Amino acid sequence: MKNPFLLPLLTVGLLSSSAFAAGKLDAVSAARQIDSILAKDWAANNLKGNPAADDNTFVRRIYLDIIGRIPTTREAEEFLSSKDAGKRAKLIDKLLASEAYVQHFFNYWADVLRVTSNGNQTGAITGAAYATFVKESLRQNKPYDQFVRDMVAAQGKAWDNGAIGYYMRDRGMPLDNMANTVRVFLGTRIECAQCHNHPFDKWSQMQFYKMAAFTYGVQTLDYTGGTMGDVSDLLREKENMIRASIKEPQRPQRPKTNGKMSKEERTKLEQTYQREQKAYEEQMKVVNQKRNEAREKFRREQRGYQEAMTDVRNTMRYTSVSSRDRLPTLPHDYQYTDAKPRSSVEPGTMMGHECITQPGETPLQAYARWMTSPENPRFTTVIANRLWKRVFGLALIEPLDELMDTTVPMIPEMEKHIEKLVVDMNYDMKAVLRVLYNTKAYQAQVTREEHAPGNVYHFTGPLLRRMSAEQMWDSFVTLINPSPDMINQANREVMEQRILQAKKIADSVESLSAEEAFAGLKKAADIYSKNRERTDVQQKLYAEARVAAKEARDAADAMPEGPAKVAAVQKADELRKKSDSIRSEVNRIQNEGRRVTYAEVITTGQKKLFEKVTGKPYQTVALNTKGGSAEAPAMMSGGGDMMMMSNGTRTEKIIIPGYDRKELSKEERQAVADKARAAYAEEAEFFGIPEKERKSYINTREQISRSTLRAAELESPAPRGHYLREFGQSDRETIENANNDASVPQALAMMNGSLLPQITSRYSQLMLTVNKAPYPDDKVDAAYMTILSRKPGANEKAVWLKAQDSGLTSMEDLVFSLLNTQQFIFIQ
Amino acid sequence: MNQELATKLVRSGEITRRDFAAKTASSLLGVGLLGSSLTSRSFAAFEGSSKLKQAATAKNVIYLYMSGGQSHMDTWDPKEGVETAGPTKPIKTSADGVRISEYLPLTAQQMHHATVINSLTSTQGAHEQGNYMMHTSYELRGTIRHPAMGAWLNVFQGGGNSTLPNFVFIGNDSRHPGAGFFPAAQAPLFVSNPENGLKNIKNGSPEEKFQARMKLADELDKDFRTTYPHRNVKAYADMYDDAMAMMKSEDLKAFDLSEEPGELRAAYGREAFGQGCLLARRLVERGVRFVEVSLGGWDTHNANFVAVPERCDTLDKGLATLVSDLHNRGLLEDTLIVLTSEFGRTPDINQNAGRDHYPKAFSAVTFGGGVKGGYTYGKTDKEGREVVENKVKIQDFNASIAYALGLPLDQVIYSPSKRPFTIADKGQPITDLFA
Repeated sequence: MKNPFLLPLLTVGLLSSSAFAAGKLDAVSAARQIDSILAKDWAANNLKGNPAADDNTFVRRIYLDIIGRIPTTREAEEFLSSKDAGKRAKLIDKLLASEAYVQHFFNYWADVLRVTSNGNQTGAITGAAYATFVKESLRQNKPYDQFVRDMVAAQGKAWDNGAIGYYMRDRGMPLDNMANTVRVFLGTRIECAQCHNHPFDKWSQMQFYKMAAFTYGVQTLDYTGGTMGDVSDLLREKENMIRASIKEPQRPQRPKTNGKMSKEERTKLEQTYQREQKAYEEQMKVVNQKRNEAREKFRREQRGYQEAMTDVRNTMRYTSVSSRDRLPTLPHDYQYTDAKPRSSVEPGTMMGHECITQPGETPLQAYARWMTSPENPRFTTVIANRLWKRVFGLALIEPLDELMDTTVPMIPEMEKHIEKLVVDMNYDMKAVLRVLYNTKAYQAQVTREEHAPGNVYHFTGPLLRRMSAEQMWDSFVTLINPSPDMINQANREVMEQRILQAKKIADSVESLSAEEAFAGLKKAADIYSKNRERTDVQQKLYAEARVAAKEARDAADAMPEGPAKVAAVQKADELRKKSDSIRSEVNRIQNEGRRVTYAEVITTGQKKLFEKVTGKPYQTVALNTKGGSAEAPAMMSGGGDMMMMSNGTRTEKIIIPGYDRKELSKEERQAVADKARAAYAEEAEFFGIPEKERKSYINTREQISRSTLRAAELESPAPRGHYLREFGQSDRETIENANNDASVPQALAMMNGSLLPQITSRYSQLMLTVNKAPYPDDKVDAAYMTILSRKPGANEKAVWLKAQDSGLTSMEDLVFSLLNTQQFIFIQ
Repeated sequence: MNQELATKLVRSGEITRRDFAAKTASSLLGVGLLGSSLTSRSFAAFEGSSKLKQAATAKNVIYLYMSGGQSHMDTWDPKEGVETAGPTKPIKTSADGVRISEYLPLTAQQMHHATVINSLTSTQGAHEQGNYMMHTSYELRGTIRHPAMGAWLNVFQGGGNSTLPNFVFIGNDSRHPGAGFFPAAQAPLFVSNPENGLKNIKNGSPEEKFQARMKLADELDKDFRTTYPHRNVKAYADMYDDAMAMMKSEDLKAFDLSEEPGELRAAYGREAFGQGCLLARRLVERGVRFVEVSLGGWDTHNANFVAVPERCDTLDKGLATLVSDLHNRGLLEDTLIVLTSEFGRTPDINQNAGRDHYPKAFSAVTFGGGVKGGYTYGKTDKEGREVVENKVKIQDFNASIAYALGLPLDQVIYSPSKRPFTIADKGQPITDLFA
């Protein structure tokens, strides 16, 4: 087994020698070890393992478990018809290697990490970057400990490091963030200890604060440095200059006396001094007053600058995480004797070894290293249980995030074994999952009896589980879309662009010197400084026009029918139009400052950035006539239309390589379209679509692939009211908040929602499969295969035959009924 | 029929509730077992909770939430003769001594039913945090979600006489704490457009066919259900029964606003808010106990004196008609209308002719449900900057709503994470609001 070429790698990566190091080749034998530990446990408890699951059950389950959806009929049949003895292991490998595995696992981590891709505490930009980071980490199969370190030690800008979302998610709540960290990664609940010693566990409030001290310096507040920081300095400098320009009077000198002076002389000197001092103080009072007035005046004048600067800063809101020296202080009512209230607390670990910062690493990195060390036992316990639970539906320790010193795993030997497996495999989540999916225990039938919470389960097979919200949604997508995993690139680009455009603005602003930025801000400030006055005028006009319009309308309504009324109504409408136009004018005035900021600061910066990136001078090639600010984030784009501002500024769109999606050439666009079409054509071929229908098939398919996206490709969480939410998707507000309970809105959605018509439309995967089958019996088989990955039993056929007597004759009837069975949404 | 259906409807949430109760019980047990080893102060957190109890003055609450931060200066607490007043003028109302803004002329005619609170004060100056505190009495935290009042009501008192969910939210505001740490079954039913009614409530097929299809599904699933007699599997069967019962429920008529006379519908205002108020009345009539209607657009950083009168137009029609309609139907006595917002807006007018966030002093109004009529509680100074009389914290305000509903303010409920909470976080009800 020992491969000499592997040895150097082993010494780098692994401390303990291991048979697993060679990777997946050993997954099957590693699975046998687990099976033999279970067999021993069953024997000791007089239990038998569940019978093996048949291939039909297995194929549906493994697709749902690894890639989060039911198989298409094509996929199921390919597996079922294979005679390969190792086909299960091969399918596991294939599925684990797919992009759909990433999507399905993302749904899980998004729930654990509360990933909100579009807004909430993280903001839309960092939110998108955070979601992308999690997906990319899973795509690379980043070792779990590295994944966690990346988040816990995250610093920088959203576009450079999406992992900062981990801190931004709890923006402004560093103590809560620590409680969440300890719960998610160390499986320990300490949130109670934030306010007092933990009532049910050993943790003290002091321990909580010591832990919090590690990350208390992490800054999630608005970005302040760079060009805009320099502009602030400039303004401050000006303010100081104005202050200095008002000269102070000379301070009188205290008289020097010597022993030779007479008493009279001394008194006289003293009196003169007192007089001068008094005069000085009077003058100083005036000076100070003048200085204050000058400062107030300056600041009033500066308000326009502040507005414009806020416009710029708003585009970079919640996109930066940095750290500074800052320690938490105990609350004012700290009640224990080990420290005084309000005293500051130094970092200290709550369990395991000490955390010592090594040369070359930041304290935050040291803390991340401590947290993810194999010597920090709970770190491994938690992930081992998460993976086990993913596979079997129940963890060896329940709940897996409420560990205590007295916690006993259901099968202690197994717990030890899995933890060692995780460490030996270097926290390679995919490798561990591969081993678990290859166990006989996983590949057995689900346990018939319900597992009662609080009881010990011996894992004689997986538990019967309801599909998660995402599994349900993605299975519906599968019934509709013949290639459900095909990626809709255009959709992905939307999220990429959201991040990239923020980076573009930030880098553009940073390309400007403080003076250049200041010059642009001045133009916007000039507009802002007139805002109040201009708006006040319009506001007054608007109020009058509104009243006039309303009175005219009321009067017109009260008139009897006739030509006079018609005229009055017309008059009222005109007055209404007049008031509307004043209203538009108010909006225009209010948006102008922002537009000018964008045109004079950000666009100017973009030109410089363009030159920096391309090394070529920027020339105004053509003014974009279609929405010059389309690329600006929503908060910047006041209206969208290109327009001339009152100061003559125009907006224009500047394309910068590396920041803007490269416009594809006609040929390239064609190539992309051809590729998709070739895939659709292949489907059409498979399903036997006649030549003359091909065009309509491809058109419909294009539309399907645009409109039926898998859960992980949508915003996280989906908006309220989306099927995903009705099915119980987590709102991402608290850790693991997904909900698998039955609910009335869910039943209503299943019976009456808009999904069924899509599933039974002509070119859905389901109907293509059904229509391909030649005879009525085959069609029923096809429907069963597509929905449940198995053929109907004799009983079921009989029930369907009988139902036909009661008027249910179409396949649509059968499909509706099957989708509304519980076996559809439970994973056997 | 109603009662039976109501029982069925809550059943779908039974499992989670049972689990929840078990968990709560075990945590209470934990306290008992560990009691002697605890320091006394660890659990002294609730000694400040109000023990005040009374017979409920209101059965139902219609909660009108002005999302974005309503300018108290231009609505319920207008000023005169000071720069901070801006162009807004106070007008007389149907109640002696109560003056409100000129932008609310219809509501002014209903103020004899109202108690205005002009002394609210919050510690939260950002929308998310302010909204959260107003709805839950607690600070927004990263480790837990606290329940909104409707969810507390569900837990303490259960449903009304309706097949409909007991807690309904009408509007598009995406911010709402919902059930908080209570089971999802306690969350409000979200209705985003009052004119569209409930989602997915009608099946497109003829009734007979629909029934035959459901029967077929049931028969095809028999083996599965027999093989796996699990609670969650059973819950699904029940849930389908409940959903089908709901589809046939008479109470669904509440959502058919076309039953109302055109004049009345117009009086409420054709905007979603006005129709939402009308729907709220129809729901309350059918025993729904907590209805929230939200109206956005109050975040008037810019051109405040253009935006606020426009918002007020919509508000005025909906609110004034709701009060008079409830009164005419004899429902106002039992129904507490509450109107509030996350914070007020700065007395100082900014350079964009707008007003910014101002949690320090702002207003709320209550109508009916046992509150005094034509009464003002609390006061700000003449510029609207500071509360100078009878300061009301958010917790006190929420405690007053709970008090009106007869909810136990001092009862400690444990979250599934075993943390103790009370309904208004130790707020003291303002008994002076009540007649």
